[in-house]
Amino acid sequence: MSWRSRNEVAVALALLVACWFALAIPGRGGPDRQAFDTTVAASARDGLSNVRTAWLVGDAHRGGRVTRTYLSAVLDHSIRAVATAQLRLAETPPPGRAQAAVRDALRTLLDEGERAIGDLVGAVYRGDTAGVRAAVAALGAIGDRLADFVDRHPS
Amino acid sequence: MFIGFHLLDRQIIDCDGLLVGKVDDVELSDGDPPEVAALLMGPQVLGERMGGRLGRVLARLAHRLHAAVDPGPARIPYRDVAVRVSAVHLRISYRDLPRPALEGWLCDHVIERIPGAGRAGE
Amino acid sequence: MKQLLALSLGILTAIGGFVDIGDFVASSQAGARFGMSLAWVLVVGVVGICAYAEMAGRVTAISERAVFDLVRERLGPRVALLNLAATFLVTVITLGAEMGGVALAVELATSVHYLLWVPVVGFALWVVLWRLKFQHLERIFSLAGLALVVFVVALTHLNPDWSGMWRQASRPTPADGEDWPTYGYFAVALFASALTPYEVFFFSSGAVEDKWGRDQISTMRANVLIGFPVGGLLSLGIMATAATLFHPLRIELDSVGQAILPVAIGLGKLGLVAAILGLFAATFGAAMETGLSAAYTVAQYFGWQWGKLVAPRQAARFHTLLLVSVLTGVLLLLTTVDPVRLTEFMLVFSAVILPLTYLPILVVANDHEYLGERVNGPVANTVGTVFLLVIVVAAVAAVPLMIATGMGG
Repeated sequence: MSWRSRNEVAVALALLVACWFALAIPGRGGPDRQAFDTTVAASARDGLSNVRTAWLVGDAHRGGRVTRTYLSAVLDHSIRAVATAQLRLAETPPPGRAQAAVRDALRTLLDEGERAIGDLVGAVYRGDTAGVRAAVAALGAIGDRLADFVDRHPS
Repeated sequence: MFIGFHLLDRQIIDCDGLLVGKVDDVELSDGDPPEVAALLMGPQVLGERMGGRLGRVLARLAHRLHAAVDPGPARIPYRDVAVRVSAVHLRISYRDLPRPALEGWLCDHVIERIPGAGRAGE
Repeated sequence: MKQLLALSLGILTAIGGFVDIGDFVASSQAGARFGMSLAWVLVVGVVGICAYAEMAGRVTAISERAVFDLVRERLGPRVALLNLAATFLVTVITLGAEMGGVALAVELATSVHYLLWVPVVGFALWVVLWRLKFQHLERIFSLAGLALVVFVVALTHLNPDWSGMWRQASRPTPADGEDWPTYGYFAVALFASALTPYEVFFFSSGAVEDKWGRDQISTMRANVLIGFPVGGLLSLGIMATAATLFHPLRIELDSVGQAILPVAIGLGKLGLVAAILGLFAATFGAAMETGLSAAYTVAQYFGWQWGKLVAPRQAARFHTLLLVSVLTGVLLLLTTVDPVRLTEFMLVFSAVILPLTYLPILVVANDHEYLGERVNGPVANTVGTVFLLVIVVAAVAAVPLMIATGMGG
């Protein structure tokens, strides 16, 4: 194969790969709107997953089914994941007023979730049975509201 | 020529069953038809045989490994080959061959300095 | 009697050694997200690894050569070198992911952050690879990996909706609210987790060191054809617990701790401890296998002395490669990349290079020069060829699916 034709093959391959990537990235509507909706949906799903995980593990703790080290490792992960979701939400500006309202609603839910997980951690640490029960109940309710939110705002 | 093809890239194993290297290239005699005179080993030979950019990079890297004088490729005369099945078995030991540059350097500078380098797995 | 014992030990090792961090992450995530509707992929993947591990074992037993050793003879030095580069890269990433799994398991047992454990795990792994004849220890870890059977036991304690699970499994389509690309992405990851390339390299290199011969072929077949499917059942158990607990609650998994939760809920503290132990053993065993596989592939390409039957000073290049691979894995984790994310990446890139691993095996298994009359029969060739097609489809689809779904979104 000559040097020239080899170069041509390389260019053709590069074009092919470029087309492949272009096809792989789905067509998008308004750039900001799309990005915002995606971020809202992803943050809400992350919040839902982690609030409900904390709820499950808190409930398992009440039944004496988990070790302390495991409990704290899982709750630690949950609280960080909710905080990350909040951060991502804060970094994406809403394109309009309607979207700002959506963002505020989700931010409130995530705030409440983070606080409830924090309450659970504190109650476990103090050995406060009533506090654990209250925090688990709160997490259950916040989880349901997050599930509603996810239903209303699909990506 | 045809024999050379079947030898190329085969594993070379010494008389004690230790792995020596691969048949990276062969040296042919001048006779007619030409016969395999020796097996050649080493990344530099391999790089030169492969050619192209990849081969040149490999050969250059291998060349750099030699401190001062390049001893040339490890050469095993074909008379030292005992049998040839799925690998090439030698009549001689790996100790009768020059030590590969990379192996020597790594052994002296890295492996020998770690406790337990002389112990086989048990 | 002794033979029977050896046989059952081999089968148990194959079962316990089946699950690694890739299987663990892919199965639990797929179960949480799609219920049992991706279970068929696990079944297909297990049939594939059985077919190809049998070929690799047979090639090794008869030619006394490891699989990657033969790749260069068949593909030529140039193509084999590119194959080596891709395989080595993916194997080292896999090593990093497995070590991350070990560190995460230790975190769950101690509640000390996993990053602090990463250097410890790296050092322990290297010492084990340096000092001990790995087969024994690898076997111990594989056997301890059997503790993951608690997932199957826990499943029965979670009152699963068996008929609902069967309904999901028999309708292989995305669950409500999910789209086909996401479904496809998880299918590819799950498929790659069953067929991870390092497995065959390790399997055949270990067989060379154990000096397998013709007589061992039937033992090898029993190990592969019984051990791997039962090992696949453990993966299926992990998927089913996630499908039972998390799928109805719409919880998506992004941590190893979550994936273990069903066992705690089903069986309590003892079950939880067994699950953490099983995860630790399975990932540590897999870390040994991937570390060795990375070094095997390079040493076998260049024909260097490899393996644990000789002293390190007689295999300096091989042992340096081991050291460098473990060190690279540690550095990879110390970038603070999330180990679960790293595992997801590893699975996608494993899928991309699957044809590079499995095509040469199929070619060599049909080569009379190596195998004489023991070449593939029509059954092995039919299964092998069909699988190669599936593997190529998965490899081509992997990267576009990853980009289109943002790694499963």
